[in-house]
Amino acid sequence: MAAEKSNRKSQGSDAKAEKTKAKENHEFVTEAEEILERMFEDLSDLQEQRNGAGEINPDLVNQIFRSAHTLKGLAGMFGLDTIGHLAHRFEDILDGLRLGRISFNSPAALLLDEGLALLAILMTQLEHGDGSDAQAAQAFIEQIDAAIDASAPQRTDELDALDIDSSLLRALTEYEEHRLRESIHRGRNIGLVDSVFEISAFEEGLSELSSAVREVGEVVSTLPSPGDAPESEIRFSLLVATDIDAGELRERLDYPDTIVQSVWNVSGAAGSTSATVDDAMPVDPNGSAGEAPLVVDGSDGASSEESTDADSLASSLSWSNPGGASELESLRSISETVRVDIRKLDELMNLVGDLVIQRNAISGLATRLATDSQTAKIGAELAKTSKNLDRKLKELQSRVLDVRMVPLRQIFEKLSRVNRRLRRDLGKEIELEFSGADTELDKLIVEQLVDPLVHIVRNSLDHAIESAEERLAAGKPEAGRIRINAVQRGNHIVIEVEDDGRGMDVEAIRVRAIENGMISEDEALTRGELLNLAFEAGLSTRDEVSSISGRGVGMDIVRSNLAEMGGMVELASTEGRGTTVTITLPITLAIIQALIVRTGTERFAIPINSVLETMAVEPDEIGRSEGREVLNLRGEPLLLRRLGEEFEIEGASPEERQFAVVLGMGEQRLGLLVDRLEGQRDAVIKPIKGPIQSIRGISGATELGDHGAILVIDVSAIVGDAVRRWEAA
Amino acid sequence: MQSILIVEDSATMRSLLASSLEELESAVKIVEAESGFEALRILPRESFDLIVTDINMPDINGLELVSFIRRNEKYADIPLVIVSTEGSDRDREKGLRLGADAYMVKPFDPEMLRQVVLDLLAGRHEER
Amino acid sequence: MNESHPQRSKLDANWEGLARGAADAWMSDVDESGSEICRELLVFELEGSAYAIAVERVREIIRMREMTRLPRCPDWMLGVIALRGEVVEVVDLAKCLGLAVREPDRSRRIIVLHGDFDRVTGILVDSVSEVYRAPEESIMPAQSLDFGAVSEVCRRGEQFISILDPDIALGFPNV
Repeated sequence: MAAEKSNRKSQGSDAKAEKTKAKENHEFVTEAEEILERMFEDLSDLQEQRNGAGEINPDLVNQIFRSAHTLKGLAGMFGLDTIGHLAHRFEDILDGLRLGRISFNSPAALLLDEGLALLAILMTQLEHGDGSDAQAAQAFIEQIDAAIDASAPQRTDELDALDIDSSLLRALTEYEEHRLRESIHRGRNIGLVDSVFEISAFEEGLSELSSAVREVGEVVSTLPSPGDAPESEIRFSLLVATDIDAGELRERLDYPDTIVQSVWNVSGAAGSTSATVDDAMPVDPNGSAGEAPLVVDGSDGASSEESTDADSLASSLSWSNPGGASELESLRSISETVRVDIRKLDELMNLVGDLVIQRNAISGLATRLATDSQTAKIGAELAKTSKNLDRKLKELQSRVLDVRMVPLRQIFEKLSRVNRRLRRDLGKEIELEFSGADTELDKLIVEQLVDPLVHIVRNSLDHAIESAEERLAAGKPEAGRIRINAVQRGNHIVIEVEDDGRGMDVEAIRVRAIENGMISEDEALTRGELLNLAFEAGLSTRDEVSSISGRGVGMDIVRSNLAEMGGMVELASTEGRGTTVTITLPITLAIIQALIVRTGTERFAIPINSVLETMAVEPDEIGRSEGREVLNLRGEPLLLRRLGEEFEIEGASPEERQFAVVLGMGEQRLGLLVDRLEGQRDAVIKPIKGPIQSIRGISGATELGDHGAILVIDVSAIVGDAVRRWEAA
Repeated sequence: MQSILIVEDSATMRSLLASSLEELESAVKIVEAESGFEALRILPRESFDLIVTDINMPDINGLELVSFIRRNEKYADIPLVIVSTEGSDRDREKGLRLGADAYMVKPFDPEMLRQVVLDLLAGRHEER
Repeated sequence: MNESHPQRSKLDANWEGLARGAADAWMSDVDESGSEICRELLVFELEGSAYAIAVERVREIIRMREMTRLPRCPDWMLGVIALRGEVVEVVDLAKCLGLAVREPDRSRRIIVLHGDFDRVTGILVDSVSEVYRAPEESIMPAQSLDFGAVSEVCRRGEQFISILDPDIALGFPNV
């Protein structure tokens, strides 16, 4: 339609340009129409809010502002200056409203409706190809400019009336200032909530406080200040706008070290009555609300479970009964424990890690000094001091580690409770036996181990253990038995969950896996491979979803949970006899001692606890036996493996003198040949992130403080592979 | 080595600021905080020679951070640069009055940022 | 002012563009309620062609640095770098895409991508050019090239930008 009209008007060579122009205008109008429609709607909502007693929603104003902004941009793109200018003025008015520079009853604000109508007219004219009424628009724009000037801040500065430290006001952004003024206009009370937090863990407490405020009002501003002890504390002042009065606010924000003041209330009086809520309260809200609070036991004998109870009792007393200080005192003297957020320990651990890296640098310096004859004496002294430092650091490290370690007993007790409850529900008689309850693990690992372990035990209870009749018929004792055994092996903990139930039906797994398309029908899998399919998602050998283990957590989740902690899980099962699930976990995610070796251009770290000894090996000392290189070590043949060959490293020098690192893994021995030994370091093993999930023979990587990563050798894999190849030969 | 803290909630912007500053003639160590809160946590742990901060951030705004830093004896002398999209004159004025040493509007010119940072780092050096 | 550092001014031009793009993108948040739906893309160069990846999957951009080689890995795995307490694998994107491969030199950049489950991967590219807000309608599915790493193509004037599937880019499994 538009095209027809422009055709009628166009003449000669301009026809084509006219046509293009019309097409463009049409395009603009189609897009702009939508924006204009929304603006009409929003503006009428705004009108309603303005007339009603209610408050004007700042989001609505922001939205109209954005619409005007978009329209301006669009008009600019199509070269439509008049509409662009008008939209720009719209933006100015709305920006003024948004920031409170212009009031909603000012002349400029009243022009919004008229302006929008004018915009609509301009667009219709454009669509119909009539010459746009630029003059009317220009006149209107001038009118708006004048109105904006007239509407300029008649600012009676309410903010001056507030009883607040000026440092707080000075840090408000213009928008926040406006929100504050607006709240005062709306007859809200303005309060100042002051609270002091530990600098290391302020966020949790602060967010708790802020959400409590948000239930009854708005947090206008959050200003941090140095605390009385600036090294360890931080103070936050929250400027709060709310409909409730200061007394009620105070009740709602009943937190320790928190002061609520009224800086403005509706009656206009800026009272500064302040109430401190029991400053002496010993319980840190961070601690009580925190996740996985850890109990650090000052008195060696006391069970940690007990002290947790005593502490939470203390905290519940103090929260419900602020006056009960004497009871609190007596409870405190009984239990000499401190609850520590585990993240604080993480920070401590990181610091120790940093120190260790610094110490490495110092001992490096000592060695350099010692090799120069001029500084040899200082070097020797520095080396001695560095050794002392080393000892103390080791002690510090193991003490911090100790604090993180908790016995598995806690989990075992939980499992007992699960068993007692399930025994009733299932009507099965099951004996749960534990050993190794004193085995200690990192608190974080224990926390994450609970769910997978409970799931494995539930699986056994539910699926594996047969009913009493079935058991008797199979010649088994009536009561089923699940034995859970934990042992420490080197840097790992091995937990076995062994039941004497029906075992797993390997054929059923195969059928199910074929049904699910996980394997093909003619695929030849070993028994072990089939069993481990149970860890794949979407495979359950029992059809019914029971309320006990059918909780959406399958064995696949168990496996991935454990893998996250650097652990693994394996299954062994004999049909009719029972199933054993074996979990292997690192004791801690912390620091190990590593031997740094070099071959060719590359360096590797070997965990020192697997290194039995090291020695220099001349090429002619290396013999051969059954096609493999061996070394005569005190009359016994020691199997050798060259690191350079193992990892295909360039630039290795096999014809020169080598060093053998004798590795021991259980009964197995292997001499790993390397070019050079570069000393011992402390290393924090980190997982390697990226597309290649695991590399045979590499257990992770560590940073050496000089920006580079160095790979850590997985001793059990290297030794196991080499010995297996030898035995196979 | 001198050390610079960058406080900025947008990851892209943070990365841009960091890479601009990594090109300084003298090597500097760059520490990044993705929120005002994170900056508050990092500040006591390390000593910084300069801080660059955004204004609009979700937890505390950059002005509040500047105010905190200037009122804390330990950090009061650290040069501060605000880099913000907030072109508002009032916010600029506020930032400078609170004690920021420079205020730059995004999109910033990396070379200009480097100049400002170099001057501030050097100026501080001369004072001592 | 840059006359004495010609090599740097070239770099700066890149970064400045990038900075502008990011800031524009930031500011045009205002436009989000507007009619055009856009996707923010980090555009980079590889062997003379433009590629892009969704900005929200980019954790950081770092300069090329010394890497530790990983044994027993396919040749597209360049090695690992230590990055603020993490050890991250870096992938040779050119090799993955079957392009000509040149020696990693210091002028190149590593884009560090992140995703769910704490996944992180570095990809080596020639240079990073800008953050581009691509209108949704300019993006279309890619004809199945290579192994699906390029999932979509964005048309920008005369130029085509290949958009990498961020999950494949993070995973690069069994290329």
